[in-house]
Amino acid sequence: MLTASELEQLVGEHQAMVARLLVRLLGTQEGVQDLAQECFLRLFRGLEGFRGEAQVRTYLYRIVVNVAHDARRQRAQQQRRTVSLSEPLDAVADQDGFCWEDRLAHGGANAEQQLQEREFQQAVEAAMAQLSEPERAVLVLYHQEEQSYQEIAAALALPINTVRTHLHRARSRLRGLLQVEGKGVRV
Amino acid sequence: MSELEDQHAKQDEAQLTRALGRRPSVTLPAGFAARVAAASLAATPPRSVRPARRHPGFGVTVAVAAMVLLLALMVRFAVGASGTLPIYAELTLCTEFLCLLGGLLYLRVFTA
Repeated sequence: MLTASELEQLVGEHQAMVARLLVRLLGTQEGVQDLAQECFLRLFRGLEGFRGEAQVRTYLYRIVVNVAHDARRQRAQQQRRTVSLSEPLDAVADQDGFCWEDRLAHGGANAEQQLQEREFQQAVEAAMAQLSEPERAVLVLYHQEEQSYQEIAAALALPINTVRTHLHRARSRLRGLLQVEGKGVRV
Repeated sequence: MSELEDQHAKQDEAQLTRALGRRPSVTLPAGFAARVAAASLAATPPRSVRPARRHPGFGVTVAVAAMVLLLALMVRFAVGASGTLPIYAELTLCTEFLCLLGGLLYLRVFTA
């Protein structure tokens, strides 16, 4: 059994990944801290059978996807029961702390370009919310977390060909949704 | 498709890929890891070194005692039997009873 310091180290190593994955899968930062804690609790409960960093990470990906799925379903039920006062994704995206960091350098992009990029990013996030859960999970794991087909297949317990299909279909649907929105994709 | 359209399509793909690859900037509060670790330890029940010993039920004890008595009775009948066939029949039944008794004791001792 792991000690408190080992658990703390494990959380410290993975907390950023868990948080950003949850934000991306849910489309909001609301309740992410509690959900991240739930992810780690589930991880620790099933940790004994796992050996090696790669397997823990893969297992954690699956847990995060499941926790996000549960949270979405719970929120949908709450929204059906009560009148929703939650803000739309665009409004949430403008809140402090919910920004996007570029891993690619913006070589002297002017304000207009940055604004366009930001609008496009928001449109992509809104479009992603309309994808099915497996499609969104595959898309996020592939692009954001840079996982291979094999790793995604292992994390989501799906055949590799299904992962490929989800990824291809998700990108096609995203392109279609963005074209309807008139964002980014030249029409 | 013309060369210009092809170029635009590539640019769009690159833009989409870039947008999908961007990571949301999320900051968890300081001490989050320590809090989660403490909560996990608190949520995990302490594990006992040995599993608790299960006491056999009253019915099992009565059944074993009854089988032992029946076995003794059958041995007695086997000793007192006159013909060859009844002796073998009694001994066969005794052996079966012994096997059953052994099986029951094995279950009680090793799977409790």
